[in-house]
Amino acid sequence: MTKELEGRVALVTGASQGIGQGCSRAIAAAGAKMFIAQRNVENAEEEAKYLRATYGVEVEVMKVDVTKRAEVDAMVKACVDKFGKLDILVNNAGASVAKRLENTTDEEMSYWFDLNYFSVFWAMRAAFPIMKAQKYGRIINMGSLNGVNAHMFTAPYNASKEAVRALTRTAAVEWGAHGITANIICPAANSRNAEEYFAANPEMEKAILQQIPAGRFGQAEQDIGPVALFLASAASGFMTGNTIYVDGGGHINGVPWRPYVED
Amino acid sequence: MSDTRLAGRAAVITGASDGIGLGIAQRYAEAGAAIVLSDVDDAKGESATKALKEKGARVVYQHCDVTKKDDVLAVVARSVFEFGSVDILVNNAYRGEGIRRVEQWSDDSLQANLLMNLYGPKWAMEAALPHMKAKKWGRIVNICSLNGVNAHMGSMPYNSSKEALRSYTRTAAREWAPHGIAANIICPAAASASYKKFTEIAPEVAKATAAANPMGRMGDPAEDIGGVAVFLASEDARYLTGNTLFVDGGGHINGVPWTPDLGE
Repeated sequence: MTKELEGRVALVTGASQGIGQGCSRAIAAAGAKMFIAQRNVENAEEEAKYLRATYGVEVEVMKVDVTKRAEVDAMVKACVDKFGKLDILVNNAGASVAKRLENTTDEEMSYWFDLNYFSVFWAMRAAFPIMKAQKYGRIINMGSLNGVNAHMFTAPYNASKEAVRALTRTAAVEWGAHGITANIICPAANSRNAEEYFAANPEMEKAILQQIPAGRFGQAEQDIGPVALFLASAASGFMTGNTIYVDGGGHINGVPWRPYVED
Repeated sequence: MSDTRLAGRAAVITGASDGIGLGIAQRYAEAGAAIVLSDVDDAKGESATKALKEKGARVVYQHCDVTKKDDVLAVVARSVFEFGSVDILVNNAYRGEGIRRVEQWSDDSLQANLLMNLYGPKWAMEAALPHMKAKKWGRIVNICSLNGVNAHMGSMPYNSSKEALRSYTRTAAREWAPHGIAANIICPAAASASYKKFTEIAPEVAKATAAANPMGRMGDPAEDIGGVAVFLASEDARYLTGNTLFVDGGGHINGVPWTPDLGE
């Protein structure tokens, strides 16, 4: 029996942990060849071994700092050189920190935009020619409820993630004619960091759990991965420019977001 | 290749004799679901049911006018009777009635749209709730419209009632999430029965709308909408609720040349 993504090639940034790992594993399980790229190449190699052993797919690893345009260009080129195609692009690498807006320096704003927004822009621009030639592309970008709802104390993250959403939707309009879809996932799932934090702060875990309508934390592999797989597959071919909240309903009704920040 | 993603699930679909409802029924059947196919057009409904049965689907037909509460309760009960449960509910039924200026729509027209697009789904969802709660598993897929989201000219009762349904669906999504029930909305653009009717009423606008779509075409109910409905009804959507998915080739972005002639 043919697997759903057999014959496809997927590039995932930040695939060795968290959301990226969940998406990458779901796509690999469906039979795609994988190109995984991130700064920590040791973790990436370890993850690659897991993907090869568990799903029997080819995996290529590359050390990439997505805040550097030349490295992002090289990443896309290396994927196409190795596999001859690039069907699915998952721009997952990104991060945030809690800090008051007025204390944010120019350098910090610029850095967060390089990491969360320009990295995505560069990867999409580099991937476009091959996707256009293929008349097939699936772009999956990560947004955030922080951005959509403008959560306090994460201004650069909010702005850069909202910029990614606008970029993604513009690409959806402009590139739809070429068989390329571009969608956004706003995920909420536990990460290794979150689990460590909750182990040390059980009251916080309880408090945050109460804000999740589904009554449980998301797991990247079981809950986010399948959605990424759906967006990577043929079934979603007429669906583009969407923002999908995969968060157990947390995006509805509002959240009492109050992280600790220094004055 | 057999698709078993909805194996063991029972689905109720309203307005399923044609268009998007039928497209979804076809894909649900292929995915292994048992189906109560319902409609007001019994000839068409029975014919569609027969065709699905011939392909090996477990499907029964039930007449259902979604503006009549008894009909709606009966169609949910039919699923429980035939299949032992109602796991998936697709509120799709709609009957179009042309375009008119805001101030030209009667109270009766608005009320009819609210009955069809809000009360019908409400009755179905409330009837399905105890069964879904008992299994701690449920999927609700409600069909809404870009007309509503973007407030298109000429279709005020449709717009208002479909937006009311979106809000109702999201509220239910929030409140019923603890029970393992996911409720989501699809805003489709497909060559449905009402779209075909629209092309008769306003052919130039319909043509321009399809051409302005980034993918340059209207969707096919089974090929383009059906797969998304299967995903939303499946285990894969377990952490996804309260969403509005635009399955329209990107037509919801950038703006649409929606300019029907509303007369003087």
